[in-house]
Amino acid sequence: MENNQTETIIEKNRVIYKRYFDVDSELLFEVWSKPEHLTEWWGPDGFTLTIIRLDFSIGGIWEFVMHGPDGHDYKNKIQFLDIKKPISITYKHIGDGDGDVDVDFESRIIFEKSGDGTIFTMEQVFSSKQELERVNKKYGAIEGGKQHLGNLGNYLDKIVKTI
Amino acid sequence: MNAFAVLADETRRDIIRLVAKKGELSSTEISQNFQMTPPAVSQHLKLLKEAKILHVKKDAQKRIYSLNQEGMKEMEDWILEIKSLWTKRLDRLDRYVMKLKKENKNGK
Repeated sequence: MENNQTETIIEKNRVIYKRYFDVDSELLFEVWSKPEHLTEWWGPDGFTLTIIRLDFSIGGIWEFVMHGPDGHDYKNKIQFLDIKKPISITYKHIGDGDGDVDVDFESRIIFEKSGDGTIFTMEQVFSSKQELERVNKKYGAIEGGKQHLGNLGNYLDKIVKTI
Repeated sequence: MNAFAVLADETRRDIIRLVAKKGELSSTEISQNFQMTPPAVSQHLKLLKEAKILHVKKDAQKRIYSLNQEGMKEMEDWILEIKSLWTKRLDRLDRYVMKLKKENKNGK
């Protein structure tokens, strides 16, 4: 792993990111968990962030709006599933806060001490068990697959506008 | 129906691999490779078709399945967009924590 390079691996329905940060894991954990820090970096360049609410606890909800450079607002809602200070954070996306459950993925972040720095690993798994159960219940009664993929595309447009 | 939810199932991933390897397969040929009833396989194929992961064409009484490049590409593009978002986000995080570290050193 090269210093300050994000390494990504894409496999099946998961994406894994690895990166080395030259700060201790306590600090890294802190900037992931406190609103005054999150607003400083969560939006990629050109974006600003408004935090509607942030309950950094297991089961807690984080709701925020990313303001894009093009003037668009992108609503997001995240639920924390597990928190182990300062080792790991697991959360899932629960859509745009308007009950959109079609885009659903879980992320697990691990902070691993490495010398004076930290090796950061994030694993994103697209579609959660709940999503699958929901789908399985409807098994055979699902229509409009195309429309859903369209929604996926729309959502993508909503969360990412390349600057 | 979300393509990722479709892909999260092991059997459906096996079906995709099989079709990708052979290029084209009828539903009967696909069924023969799995320890499942044809109706169960047929349900999986329906989902794969709806998620635009598999393409189907009718040949007399047969349904012939192949990979749907369009659906695969849509998913790939989506993952790449998220990847790009996170790469940028982590770059910014890196700059931010380095700034904090420097400030701490200066006893701010």
